Amino acid sequence: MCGPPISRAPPLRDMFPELFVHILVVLGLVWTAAGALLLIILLIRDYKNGKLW
Amino acid sequence: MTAATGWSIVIVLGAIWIGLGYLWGRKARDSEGFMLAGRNVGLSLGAATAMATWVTSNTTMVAPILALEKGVWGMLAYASVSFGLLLFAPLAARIQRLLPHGFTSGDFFRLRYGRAGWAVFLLITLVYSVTWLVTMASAGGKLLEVLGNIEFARGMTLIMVVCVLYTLFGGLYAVIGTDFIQSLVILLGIVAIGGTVAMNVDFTAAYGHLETHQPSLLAVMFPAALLAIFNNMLFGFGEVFHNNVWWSRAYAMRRGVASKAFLLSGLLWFPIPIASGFLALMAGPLAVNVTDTGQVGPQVAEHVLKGAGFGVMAGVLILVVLFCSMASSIDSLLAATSDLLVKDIYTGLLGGELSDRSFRKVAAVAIVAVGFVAWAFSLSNLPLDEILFSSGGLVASLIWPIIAGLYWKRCNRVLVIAGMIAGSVSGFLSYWFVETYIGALVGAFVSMVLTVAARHVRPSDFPRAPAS
Amino acid sequence: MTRYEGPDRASVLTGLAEGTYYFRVRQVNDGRPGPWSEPLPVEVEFMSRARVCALLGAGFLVTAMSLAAILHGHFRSNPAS
Repeated sequence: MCGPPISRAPPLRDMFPELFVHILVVLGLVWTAAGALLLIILLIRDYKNGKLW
Repeated sequence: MTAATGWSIVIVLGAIWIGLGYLWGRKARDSEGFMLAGRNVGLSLGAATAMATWVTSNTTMVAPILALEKGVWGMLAYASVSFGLLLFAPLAARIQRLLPHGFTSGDFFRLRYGRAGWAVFLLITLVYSVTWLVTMASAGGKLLEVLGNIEFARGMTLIMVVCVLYTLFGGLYAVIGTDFIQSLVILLGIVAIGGTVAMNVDFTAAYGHLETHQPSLLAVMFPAALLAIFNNMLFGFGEVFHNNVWWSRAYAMRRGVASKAFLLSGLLWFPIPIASGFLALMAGPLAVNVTDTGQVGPQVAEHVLKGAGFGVMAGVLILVVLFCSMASSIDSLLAATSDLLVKDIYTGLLGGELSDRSFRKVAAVAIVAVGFVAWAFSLSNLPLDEILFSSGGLVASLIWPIIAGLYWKRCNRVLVIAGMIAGSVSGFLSYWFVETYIGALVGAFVSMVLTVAARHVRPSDFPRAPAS
Repeated sequence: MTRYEGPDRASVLTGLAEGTYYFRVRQVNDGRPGPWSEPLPVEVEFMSRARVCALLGAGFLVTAMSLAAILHGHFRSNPAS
């Protein structure tokens, strides 16, 4: 980028704070991993109870 | 990655799916077994198949594109597309109760809205389903070309052949079984890739870079990101509520399982656009020069994974995850669309017979036919993605007719059908002649108005018991 | 300020705030830079807030009513649960 804009536009207010974005990303990854784990646990449970399909 | 590696990956994975398809397909003794996996699918397989089918290559490839162009809101807006699965949970429970012997979503439309409503529905759903399938096949071909150095036509043909074969051998058993494996690969792959990126990035520095050079991506009030949120949500609702891909799963699951499975699938799906999308936000901070927006996800992933010492495995991992997300949707579309052709058109319209011996042959013809049409269109130069997006108004116009048909006791059928048609037409035209981001919204709105009117203007009772 | 230096012939720009920006390119052969191109003005303009709010409002309305219809139907047909 060639630096900030040359014409005068109002600076962007209301940005998502850094902590929010950081937590969002980490949460997204952890949640995805938890989902995989949950599916495996449910599969084992269904299989043991003969309720797979 | 060399072409040889690319071919090997696809062929090995393909052989696994086909082998499993053949194995599991032997469980299907009649058409109910083939199309609906015996109506006994449990929670784990049910939730996984619903989630994996909704994770298309769009989810893993487009989420980064949206994040690149529309920032944090782009990712969050995309995550809200999971609401379609969540909202289908109560609908699925109702479907199981209302149509315990149902086979397709067409059965519902024929029951509630007669032949006219059924015809309009079939037209909409076939256009949408085939277009969706075609875009998946094309995306697969493009992916193999970019990541695997395989020529588009060959790669796309290989993917379609693999998916057609295992769907043909195994029916819904094969689709659901492979979907479970594919869902684990998708989820764990995204965590592996995303986790590596997250651990190799100084987040504070990255945020600072974005703040200086790409501030709009962090903006709360970013018009480009906000203006399509509800349109896309309604598009998603229309897609999930009407399509036989989801209805066949509702029929296939054990009684009482469907609503929990869809609820769970929505929760499993929600974080995926965030976990895969944020890669694109890191492109600028990592000084990755993006030359093709469409490839930003794999590009950043490969850059970071290679830097972290993955070497050639970087491309392999990315290809495997993307191939799984594509296959899990293509097989479902092939199965569900061919089911419509077999049940609604072959037996329903043409009066054909489906004995325990003939059903496999009929289903095979339907699956191959659908696969072939998709393959042919994929090779054409038609603007497939545009056609898919412009169908938003069509599917969104079915939202209210479905709600009405599932929950209301009486309505004016003619007005509802008029709503389906008017919504489709107005939504379609709005996309092309007004703005692309209001097609689904207009379609849903017009249909909603007419359906609500149908409740009050000369309503007549729905038939009491579902017709067999 | 240099945005990109390297072998690629394209560079995607996203996330700019509203305003006018100027860009120029030049070729570098064996460490010897050629002349700069003419500056290219790029104007970034967002949609008016009013219009966005109208869209959000309409969208929210239709979505909320659809959600309400589903929940209403669901709870009415399941009085025990």
